[in-house]
Amino acid sequence: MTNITVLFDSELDYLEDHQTEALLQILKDKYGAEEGFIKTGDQSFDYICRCPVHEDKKNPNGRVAFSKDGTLRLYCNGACSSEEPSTWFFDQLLERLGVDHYLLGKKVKQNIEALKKDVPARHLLGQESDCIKDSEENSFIWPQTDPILDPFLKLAQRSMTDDLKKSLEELGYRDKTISQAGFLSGSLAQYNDFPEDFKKDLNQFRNENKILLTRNAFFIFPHFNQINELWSLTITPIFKGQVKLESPNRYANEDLRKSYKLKDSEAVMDGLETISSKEEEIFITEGIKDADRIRMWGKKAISTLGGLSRAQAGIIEGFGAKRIVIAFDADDAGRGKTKTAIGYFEESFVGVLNLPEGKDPNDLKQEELRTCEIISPSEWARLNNISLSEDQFTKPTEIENSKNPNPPIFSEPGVLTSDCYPQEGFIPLYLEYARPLTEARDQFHLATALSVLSIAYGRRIFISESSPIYSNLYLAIVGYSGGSKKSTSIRIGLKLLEDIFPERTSLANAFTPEGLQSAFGEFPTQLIEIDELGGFLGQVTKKTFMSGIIDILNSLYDCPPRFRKRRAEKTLEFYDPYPVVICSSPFRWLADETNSTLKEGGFMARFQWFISLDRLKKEDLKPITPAPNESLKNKLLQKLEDIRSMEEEDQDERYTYEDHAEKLYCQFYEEQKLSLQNEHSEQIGPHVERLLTAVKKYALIFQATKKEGVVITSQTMKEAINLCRWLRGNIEHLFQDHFHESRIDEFCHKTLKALKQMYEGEKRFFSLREITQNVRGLDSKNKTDIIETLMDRGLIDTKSGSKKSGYKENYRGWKFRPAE
Amino acid sequence: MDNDLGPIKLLDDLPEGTHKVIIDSFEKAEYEDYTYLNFLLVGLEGDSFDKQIIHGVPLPRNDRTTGRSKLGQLIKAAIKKPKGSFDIENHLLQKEIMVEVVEEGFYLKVDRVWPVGEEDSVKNPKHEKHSFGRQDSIVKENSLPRI
Repeated sequence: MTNITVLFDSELDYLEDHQTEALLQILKDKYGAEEGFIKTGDQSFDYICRCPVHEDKKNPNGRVAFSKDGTLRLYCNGACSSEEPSTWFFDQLLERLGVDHYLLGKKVKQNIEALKKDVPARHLLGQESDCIKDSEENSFIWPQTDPILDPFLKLAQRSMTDDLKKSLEELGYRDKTISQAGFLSGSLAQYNDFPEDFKKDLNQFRNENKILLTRNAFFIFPHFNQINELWSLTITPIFKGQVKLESPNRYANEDLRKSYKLKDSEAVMDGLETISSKEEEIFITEGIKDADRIRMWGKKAISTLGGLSRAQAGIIEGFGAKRIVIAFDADDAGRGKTKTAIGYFEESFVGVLNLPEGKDPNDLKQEELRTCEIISPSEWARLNNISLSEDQFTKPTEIENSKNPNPPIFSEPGVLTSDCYPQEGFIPLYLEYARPLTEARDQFHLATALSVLSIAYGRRIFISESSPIYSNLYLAIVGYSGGSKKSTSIRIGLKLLEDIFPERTSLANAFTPEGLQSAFGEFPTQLIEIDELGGFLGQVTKKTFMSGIIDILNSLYDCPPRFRKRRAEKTLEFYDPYPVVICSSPFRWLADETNSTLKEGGFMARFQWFISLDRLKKEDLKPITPAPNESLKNKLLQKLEDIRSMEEEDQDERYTYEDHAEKLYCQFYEEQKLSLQNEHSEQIGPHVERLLTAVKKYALIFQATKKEGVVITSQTMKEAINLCRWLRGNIEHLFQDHFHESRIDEFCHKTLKALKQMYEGEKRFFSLREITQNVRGLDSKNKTDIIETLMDRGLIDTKSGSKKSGYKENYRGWKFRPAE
Repeated sequence: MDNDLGPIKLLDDLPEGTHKVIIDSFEKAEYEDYTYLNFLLVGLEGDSFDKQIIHGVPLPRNDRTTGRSKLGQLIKAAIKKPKGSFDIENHLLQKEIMVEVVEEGFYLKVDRVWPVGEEDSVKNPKHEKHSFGRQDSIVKENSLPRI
């Protein structure tokens, strides 16, 4: 027994036991005694507060949520959102703020009773399991509202008179809408009392929303987001006969639209603040009055302020309601909008309110509305003689599963379909587990799952060929810089791995050949995690202590029974090495560091590239992520434990191919080999060669996770081939868009790409100045070389400019377009 | 060297359930970057008498702890109102605590610890397993495999 002393931090312990009260005390210290939490109805966090880290203005940007174990998390939506991290757990927050535990603890102890009274009840408490689901499905980050909106609305609300309110009632609006609405007559006199700054902002606001510049009168309807923050406004011109105006020339003429949304407000809806995460059914209507009418029926309703946009559909779907009922107008325009809206949802999830011909919900009396049936989309389509196309409904698996009888050599990069991996066993379970935890794409999770399985199985599974084929893989996750959550997705898998195979994850980022020797010498099965492949490549070429690493990793890839390398000071030697590499990188860094030596040396060719080309959409955002699903986590850990038991029982599995699987592989092999017959193939050839072996490795892993025996079936082989077709597409993309032999090559590619885009927009020749404006990095020093290279390669057509001496050299006056 | 080690006494595992135990001994184990303290807990009463379980807790890197770590929970269970420095050997060993043993996969593990004589009816949310926010939560808690 050894002598170990630990310090029990009783002050921090007390603060941890009273985290909410401690945060409240911090807020009061920073912003004054009146400061407190705002309770929300949002399903992903409990409270809103001003940010304790930066100086928050009036609009509070802090979001407080709690983990399943009660740990407080604070996320800042404001100035801190550019900080890394911008979400802090309680201890991290104290550290970030540099809080003195003793002093804070003392204050909290003194004020504990008052603080407790000031803390609103947590609406998510006891709903953790639901919380996971909710956050998974509705992680929309509400955009920052324009600060001018609030004073502008107040300005309009002050101009509302009782007569105008009465008119609104006559027009069909209900109490809640009327109480929030405002009125503007367009008179400049209304603005005179405001400070100059506000008037300046207001003028800019009016310039952005031109309708406000006319001398019409308007009703202003505010729209709030689900956390009850003012999000946007609808401006409705007043037409003659609707309202009696003092000045008749303020009435809008009939040419004007009935309503206007503010700029950049496609996702805005009316009534979001009335919707909680627990709704069974949500009605969606075109207009505000229609939604008001449905609410009078006792139902929950949102107005989409016209047709339904994809962004709106994403938000609505995120509420997790069991049914969405479309209650758009029963006229030609409304039917068109209904058809589009149906396409945004799954068929089983959506119903249509069958209104009488030509009517909208607000035209009907309460009794009439109640008699309207909610019918299925197909029934609605049949009744209205509308055809819903096969792919009308959002059914990703159906679309993905449509098979092409003559598959291409490679598929488009970016879109990973579900036929690229097994539908049972560890992988689909892992995807289900990891998806809610980060904004990363499926391909990143798949790569991580494969690396976890690869290292878990180690040498225990192999295909029996002339030399055994093991399941070790070198995998790279590549996406755009920041936000694609490359490293985060890797960490999710590695955390599971560390639970069961902690001894196999000792190498990360920078290590020397001696470090490698030490790790492999102790445990020959090792996962090497590299956070930034671009940075790693840079270090390997620049730092002497890392020299030789690439050669070693190249040699280890084939899992030789014995590795031996003589070095100046020491001979490296170890037995049965089994390396797996998982790394991530943004495109740009990778491209910058991947010099031709590394490409040709075969190191990069050993990697399979899991890339994501799409940028995040609003509906993908997850500002606060839920705690991991414990049940799924336990299942995954159990599966890893099962694999571990092979180790303990010293059990090896030798795999062979089913006849048809072998035939499929041979076809794939032939097709891929024959595709490498041109100049371009010199670059991608080594990558494709490795990919042909990788098919076998994937098939081996897939078959092992299915636990259906040691014969690789044709289904498994198809999945592996599909995955490798997608990976081949990724290789093509990397070489086309990112890996270039020289800077000139890179600029040629960029210039041609930009020129093609410009030409698609306007079919004409473009001047060099216009091209230069669209290509970053193209300047007076290199543009002549680039243009001449493109001309030499016959990739662009030219229109000669001035023949005067001195003009031709720099192509002034010349014009260009992509070659026909 | 004397090869006669004498009779080997095999102790049974503590079964699932709530037991009063004594912290009998501990061993320090280095595991990659982590240091564990593997405490041997021995049952004191009834069916659990003389049965044992190993309760592995990670040692905080900075030697500071609070009640939200496994070691902190053990300290709080063994010592009333803990404050300041504790020498594990002198302050924790031979202390009596209550434990709840649960089955996880093929293993039995100590799920919760609390002081003898305190109410155990309300499950402390702190003891829920979670996997982010705290360094020590990424380390698996091991116990003897069930035979």
